[in-house]
Amino acid sequence: MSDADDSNPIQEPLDLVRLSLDEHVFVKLRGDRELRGRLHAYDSHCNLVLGEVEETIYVVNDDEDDDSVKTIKNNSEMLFVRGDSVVLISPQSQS
Amino acid sequence: MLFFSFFKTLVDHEVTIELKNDLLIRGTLKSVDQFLNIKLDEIHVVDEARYPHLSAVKSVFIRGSVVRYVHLPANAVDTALLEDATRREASNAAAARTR
Amino acid sequence: MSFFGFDTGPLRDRGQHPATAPGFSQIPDHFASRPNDDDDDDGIDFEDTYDGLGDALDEKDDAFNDETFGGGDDKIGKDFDFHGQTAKVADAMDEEHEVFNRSARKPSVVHSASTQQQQPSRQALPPAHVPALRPDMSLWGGTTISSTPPPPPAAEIHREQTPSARAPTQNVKKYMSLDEVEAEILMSQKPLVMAPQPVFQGPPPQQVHQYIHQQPDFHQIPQHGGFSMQMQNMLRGSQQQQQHMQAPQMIHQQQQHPDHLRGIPTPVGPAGGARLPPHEQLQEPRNVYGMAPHAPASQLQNMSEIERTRFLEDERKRLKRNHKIAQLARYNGLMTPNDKNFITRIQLQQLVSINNADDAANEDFYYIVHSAIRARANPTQPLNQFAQTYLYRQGRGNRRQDNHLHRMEQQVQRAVAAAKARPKASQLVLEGSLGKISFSNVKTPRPMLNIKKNETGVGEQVRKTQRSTISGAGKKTLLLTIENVYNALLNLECHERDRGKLPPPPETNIHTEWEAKRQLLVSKLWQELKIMSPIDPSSNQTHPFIAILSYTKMKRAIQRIFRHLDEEQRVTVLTMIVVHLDILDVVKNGVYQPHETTLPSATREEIDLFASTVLPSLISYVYEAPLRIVIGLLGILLERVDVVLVSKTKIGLAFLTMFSSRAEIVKQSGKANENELAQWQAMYDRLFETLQGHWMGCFPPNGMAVDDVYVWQFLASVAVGASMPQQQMLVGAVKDRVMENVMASKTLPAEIGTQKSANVNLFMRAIGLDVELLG
Repeated sequence: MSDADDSNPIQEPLDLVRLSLDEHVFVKLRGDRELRGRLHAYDSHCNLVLGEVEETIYVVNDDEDDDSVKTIKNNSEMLFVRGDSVVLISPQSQS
Repeated sequence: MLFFSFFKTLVDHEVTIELKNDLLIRGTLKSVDQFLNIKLDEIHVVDEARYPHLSAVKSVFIRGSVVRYVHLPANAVDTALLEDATRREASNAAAARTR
Repeated sequence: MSFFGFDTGPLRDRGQHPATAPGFSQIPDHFASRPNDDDDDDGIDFEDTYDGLGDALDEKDDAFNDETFGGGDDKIGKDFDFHGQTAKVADAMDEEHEVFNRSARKPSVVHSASTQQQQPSRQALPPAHVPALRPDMSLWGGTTISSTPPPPPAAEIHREQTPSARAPTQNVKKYMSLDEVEAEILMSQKPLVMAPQPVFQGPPPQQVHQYIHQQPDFHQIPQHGGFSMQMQNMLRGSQQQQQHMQAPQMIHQQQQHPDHLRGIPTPVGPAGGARLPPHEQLQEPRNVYGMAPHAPASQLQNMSEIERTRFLEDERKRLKRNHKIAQLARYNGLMTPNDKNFITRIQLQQLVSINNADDAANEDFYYIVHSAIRARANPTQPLNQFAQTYLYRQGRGNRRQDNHLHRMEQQVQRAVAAAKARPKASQLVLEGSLGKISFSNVKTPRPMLNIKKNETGVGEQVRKTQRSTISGAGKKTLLLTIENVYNALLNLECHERDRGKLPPPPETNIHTEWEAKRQLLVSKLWQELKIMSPIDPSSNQTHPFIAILSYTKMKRAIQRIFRHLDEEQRVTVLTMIVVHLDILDVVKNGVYQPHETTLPSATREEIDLFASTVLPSLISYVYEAPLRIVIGLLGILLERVDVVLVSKTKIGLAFLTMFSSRAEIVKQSGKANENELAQWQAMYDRLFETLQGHWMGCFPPNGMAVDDVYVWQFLASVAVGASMPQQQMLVGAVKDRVMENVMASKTLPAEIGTQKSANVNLFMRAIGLDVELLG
């Protein structure tokens, strides 16, 4: 940490994630899940800590006639997300 | 090491681990290692009726790779400090890359 | 088996085996129930099943049939010489053994007659003389002299048989009994006295009897008890000879079976060892490592029997130990001292870096700081400040430990530097060779291509674009700016933490270095804040600093940043904020729209955050600031900012309150000079004038339900400096509101009531009145 030059331009994709620290983000996970919350921490594995999260799970009805997709929502005040499930991270304007 | 450091501060707090097989285990975090393997004491399976496998089990060791989420108490987390730690980690990684 | 007359039917039928026993009736045996009827058909008639293929077999072209089955032409005799051919060569092997033995040792036995013996067998007579098929003990390390076969099964050989008859068998060793050994040795000692052979036969008692004859000295000694003494005597005489004879064999075998020998703790020579009783092992002059035992053979005789056994025990232990050492030392010499040094240095460096507190802060930052904060965090409000000082203090305490680590680290560094400084040729040129051989390293690998990168140009360009686009104020660039600010801030804080690790003041050099570094980091931080970016009124782009201030994380950072800024920088920040006061997000969004009674929650949060993070820092500065600064700032405010708009917001009012209360304090302390007081008065009057008629606008909508304490604070601060007419105007404007509050304080629950009453009292006291007066 004693580098004099710290105004690093964005070098790799994870640097973009850094810009979204303490901002609202949208995270897509494996298994048809999505998260919306405030990003507090991340690392190179894409492990995340999100605050005030809302999880959306998309469930497909297996009926022959009914092909609809329903969603299940869960909330959490603070959530650690393991990186191997993360598909994408995107900034989000507060909705 | 960031999240290892982070979980160390949460030892003896009650957390709920959600596994990739949809199992939810609530318990007291007793220990964590560099791979984020977790040891929980006094566990209780949420929705026990659906998952009766662990009804006789008091302590578990959970391999880090099977964890999907860890639900934490918000008051146990200092978000500003966490963000700073993340920034440091990211800077270190960037510095190591350019070196 | 019926051929032999055995009943081959199932056991069950014979009644000899219980049918319920496992294994018999489990697997259905379709033939089991059939009785033993060999008389009848077997069930499968040959005639029925023969398919005639056998007859159809064409054997004409089977090439080697004649050889196999002895063809038609050759006569097949009836007398088969099973042994004859091999007998011719069998003795050749024996002969070769004898030749070898003869050449290896003193020729002591004449084997010439051996050939004679073999002659009869060459005639291929069926009962040919077969040389005794016994293991050749010369291969196994026995002596020829000591070996004697028992009398051959054919009792043709008599006692008086010539040595020649014995010759072939003398090469073969066997395990002999004690008596036979004795006899042997005696014979070897006195070969001329009597024929050696007669002794070798006969039962032991006979031999003993002969011994007694031969050595009248021991005549009195009973048979068995005297064995040991006899042995000793024999040993004395025979040691030399035995050694000579055994030595070449020993060497030979040692060379051949080193592993085999090593594994045996007892001395080598299974024949010798197995054959002889324990204390005969002294015959072995050498052990595996070519080391003679401590007590050479000649001294052995002088030792008592007890000593000898002890010595043997020691020998055994020593050999065992040596064997173990050999096992351990199997992999010695794999690494050169250079390699070991290299590894040791790496380990040292690792140790140093693990124990280094600095690295701990780097790797384990969150945990360490968090536990530090949690350990102390009771009423301390400026938490970050406290945490920093706490860590600062902690640094001092650990200095002693750090000294040792520091020293070790220095040593390691010195070693590394020394290694680097050693002149090392990068290329090698051999005489007569064409060209140079270059050395490559892990750290300096041979480059495949040599491309010069134009890095600096790219870097500069990026920065320029940053500056030009910052006024474009894209969200991405703003966030990037914020992160750069954070980088600079974290570096600075890290550097501050190092202050505690410096040695005490006498070493001024390090301190000045540290201070210089700090200045550098502060200027870097200042740069990143983009404060000095020029204000361009014509451009519709927000000033970068103000733009980034709209982000929560930037507001949080301001408090920490302020701590590192000097007076001038702080007033600059304040000025910049004041200039853009009505553009601030918290002000802009803090104005109540006509029909809304509350602000959006996000806005409220931002406002609260601003009030809790940015304002305190500014207030702490202003309350130390001289009056002229306050006058100047208020002037700028009145000039460039829409004060009426600002007054409708909580944050805006907070600023106004800040200025007017500071001015009043300075006035009342009497430290202001005439000029300043006059200036301030003018400024105040302008402010009052501007806000006249808009006093009620300061209040948030929704009547008594909202928290309006900040308005009352503002009104109080204004009222203090008001002249009489100004006060009257003020009171007239807010009178209704005051009365409402007083009424509410009586009807509402106790806590809120008292709060309301107190709020109003602020104002009332400022004008010299009191709530009580209103009843």
